[in-house]
Amino acid sequence: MRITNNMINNSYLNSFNKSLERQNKLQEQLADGKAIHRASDNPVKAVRSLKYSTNLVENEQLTQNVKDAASWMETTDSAMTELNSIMTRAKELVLSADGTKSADAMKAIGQELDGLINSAIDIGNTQIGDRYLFAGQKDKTQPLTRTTITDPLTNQPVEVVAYNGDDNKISMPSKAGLVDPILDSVNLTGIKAFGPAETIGSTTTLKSLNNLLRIKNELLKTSSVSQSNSNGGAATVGGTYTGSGYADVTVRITATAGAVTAADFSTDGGTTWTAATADASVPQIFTLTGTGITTQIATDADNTTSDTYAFHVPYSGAVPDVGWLSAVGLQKVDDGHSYMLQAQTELGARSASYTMIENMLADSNTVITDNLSANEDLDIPKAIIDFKNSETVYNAALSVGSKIMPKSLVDFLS
Amino acid sequence: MAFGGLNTVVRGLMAQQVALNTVGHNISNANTDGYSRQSVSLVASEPVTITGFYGKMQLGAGTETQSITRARDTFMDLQMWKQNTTLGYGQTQEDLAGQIEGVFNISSETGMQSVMDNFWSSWQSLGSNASDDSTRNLVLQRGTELANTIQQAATQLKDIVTSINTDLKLEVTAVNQITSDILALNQQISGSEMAGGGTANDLRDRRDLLVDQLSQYVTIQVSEDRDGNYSILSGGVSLVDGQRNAKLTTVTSMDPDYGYEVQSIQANGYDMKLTGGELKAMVDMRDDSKVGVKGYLDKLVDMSRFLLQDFNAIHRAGYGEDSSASDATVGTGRNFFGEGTAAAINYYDAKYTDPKDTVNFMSQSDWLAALKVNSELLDQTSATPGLQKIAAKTSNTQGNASGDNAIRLSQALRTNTTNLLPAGYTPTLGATASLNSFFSGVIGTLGIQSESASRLVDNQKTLVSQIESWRQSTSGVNLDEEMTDMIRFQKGYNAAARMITTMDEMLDKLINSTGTVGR
Repeated sequence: MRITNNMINNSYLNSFNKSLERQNKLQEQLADGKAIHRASDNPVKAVRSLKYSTNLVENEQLTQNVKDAASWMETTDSAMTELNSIMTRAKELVLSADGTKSADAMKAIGQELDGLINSAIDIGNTQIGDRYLFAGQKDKTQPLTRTTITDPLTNQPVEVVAYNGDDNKISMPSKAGLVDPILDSVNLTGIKAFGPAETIGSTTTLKSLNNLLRIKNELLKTSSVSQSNSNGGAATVGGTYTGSGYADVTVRITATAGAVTAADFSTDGGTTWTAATADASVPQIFTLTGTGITTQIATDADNTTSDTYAFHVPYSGAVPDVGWLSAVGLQKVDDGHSYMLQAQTELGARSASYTMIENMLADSNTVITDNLSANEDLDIPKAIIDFKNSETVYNAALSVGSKIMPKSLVDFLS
Repeated sequence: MAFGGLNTVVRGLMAQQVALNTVGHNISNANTDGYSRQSVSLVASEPVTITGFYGKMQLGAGTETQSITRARDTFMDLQMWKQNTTLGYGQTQEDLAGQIEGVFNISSETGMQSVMDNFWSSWQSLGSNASDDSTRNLVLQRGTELANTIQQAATQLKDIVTSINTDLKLEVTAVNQITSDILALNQQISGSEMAGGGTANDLRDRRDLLVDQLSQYVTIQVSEDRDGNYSILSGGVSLVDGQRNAKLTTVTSMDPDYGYEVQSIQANGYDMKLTGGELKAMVDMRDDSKVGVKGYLDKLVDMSRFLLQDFNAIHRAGYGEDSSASDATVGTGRNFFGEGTAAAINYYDAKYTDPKDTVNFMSQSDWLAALKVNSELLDQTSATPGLQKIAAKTSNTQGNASGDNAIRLSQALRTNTTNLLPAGYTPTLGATASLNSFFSGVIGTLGIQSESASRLVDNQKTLVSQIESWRQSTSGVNLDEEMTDMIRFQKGYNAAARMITTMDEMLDKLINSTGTVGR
């Protein structure tokens, strides 16, 4: 074959260019350690890489879900543990309320129990961030409130712990796919933890806590006053009820500019009214004839005529029923306690399964990361050797070029 | 006899001069593109018949320059023109496929896949924290990001179309320039050769170079008529012959689906049938529904339709935060992407894809334009803030911590939607594909397309440079060879000159030194 100068030039340039291209490619790969920069570098690996990185995102998100779930369940668990000790203390108190205690001691026990009930309610209103743990899916509503409602059966005011949440599960999925409330749920609803639900009238209340309130009432045997005018007015009950059990008396006032001038009272829920006798020297004091009760109704701007006050006054001789406390009361505390323990155990089982899933996710994270790196990471030693080779070739081409290219017969003619 | 000898030698001198001149021409043009080396063919002159003692004999009369020819292998030219067309096609295709790949960035930090993954993640987070406003906000942001990414990709693809159109116009101008130059050369060559001026070597070299250039733009068939004119046909159109060249024109029209400008090529008022070369590659990469920019826009539209139809249908089936309010419809029935509620615009309704329904028909570009997060969800100042209208739960009896619909929505991004869609809907992407697998498919196809274009270019480059090298082997100037020739002809010239000196001396002897006896 006849070779011309330009042929040498061209083929030299071509191979020179190829060598540069190869170096450019290796340089791009070495710069970030990735073998694939665009789909055409290796379509199969590029698609696989997309899949692996999607899997990785999925794995990280599920791990995050499981961590959220774990923190939720840990907080719930520690709340339940505290609740546990409250119930233990409640049982001790009920046990200690035997016949040997003086009336004052009984009252002190009742007051401590009252404090325990408030603590239990506080626990029921535990928040993680701004979410209530025990409110079911209504996690932005404070679930437990201590309130007095009218029991429609007896038409008497009764103190209860109302539940404002619902009994639905909160799910934090730990696997791909749709939510499965049995497998994915992380929460204990108020009904599960403090229940079961006890519906009084239209109010959902929590039985275990209601029972504690009943025991507390038995221990305290106190009077209670409720009033129809929610804005204000205050009444105190004095005297001693002369009947047995409790007297439930309704007082209806006549007021002028907030000052009570006269009062009626009814002992049968408002069917018949009897005028109360006003005290001659202190106008605010009224004697409710025939009941032994006196009441003082303070002057208050909000008092208006026809406002009513309901009195629930225990019999003067009433003392806590020790027999009821040691039999029924104790049983109620135990029932509540075992109900709570059951909920805590169930939570513990689910918490353990989440821990296991977290470990599995961590394992598969390692596997996916390995796969991803095996798929798209550059074999660096090989790339460096290739780079060195191409560098050598490049240098050789340069030096050969500089020696051969300009030479022709012209250089040797004189 | 002696005077005749002088003539013989003079012819020799002149022939060596012509040859030396050609060597000089070759050397000067050693680096000229398209130049073929020329050689002088010398023949012995017509002999003179002289009569001698033994009869007549022929006396050599020196040398004569018969012709100056260029070294050219026409077969190689034809090969070159054919393969160069394929190379031009491949290079343009590779270049444009690379640009499309740039649009579908696969980097794990910023690519479209990672945007889709983030969107999925945000729904998963909402599934666990449905009552949390900041998580709801995240879903809106990720949704906006996804919509923007798809829109951005569509815009970039349309920009590629615009640049293709510009290039197409430039190349059509270049083709017209080349054919008009070839026409001028045709006329010069036939003119000078017909007038007996010998082979127009240098003009032919220039014409072949122009044909080389032309062959990268379009497929050509070249034939030479007996007057030496090149007739060049492309796709049934005569681009140039001895008399005229065809003026190619570009005609602007609108793409019916996306409304962007499309330049098509016409010759003599008819659409030109392109069969290869850069022009064909540009038209293919612009209009082809599989490998072209338009095909990839269609893929983006499919993704957009999926989000506006399937994803929305599942979102509409869920409930927002205020579903327990007296107005049970508040918070539900809204589209996540696009505007309005089911009642106002149902992107799923079949009539929106029926082109005969001109009022409600949504063209491809409408689907793209519609893809943005529902402005109602983004409006946090209305009586019911948009955040609360995100349908994270499946039933209005659930509390707001329930995120089961959010999980359904995240699932819809990952798997086929057949089992997730409410009754009466069919999945947009078919019975088996998911958005994810659809996108992977697009990336895979694009990668293979781009890879095979690169491979074609690599192979074709090797082939073309091989042909170029064969061609150079025949036509290229070898300086060593020329130097050798130079020495050869110089020596010949010197020898002839010495011959003249010798004759001069002989004549001097004859004229000045004879007949002087007795002087």
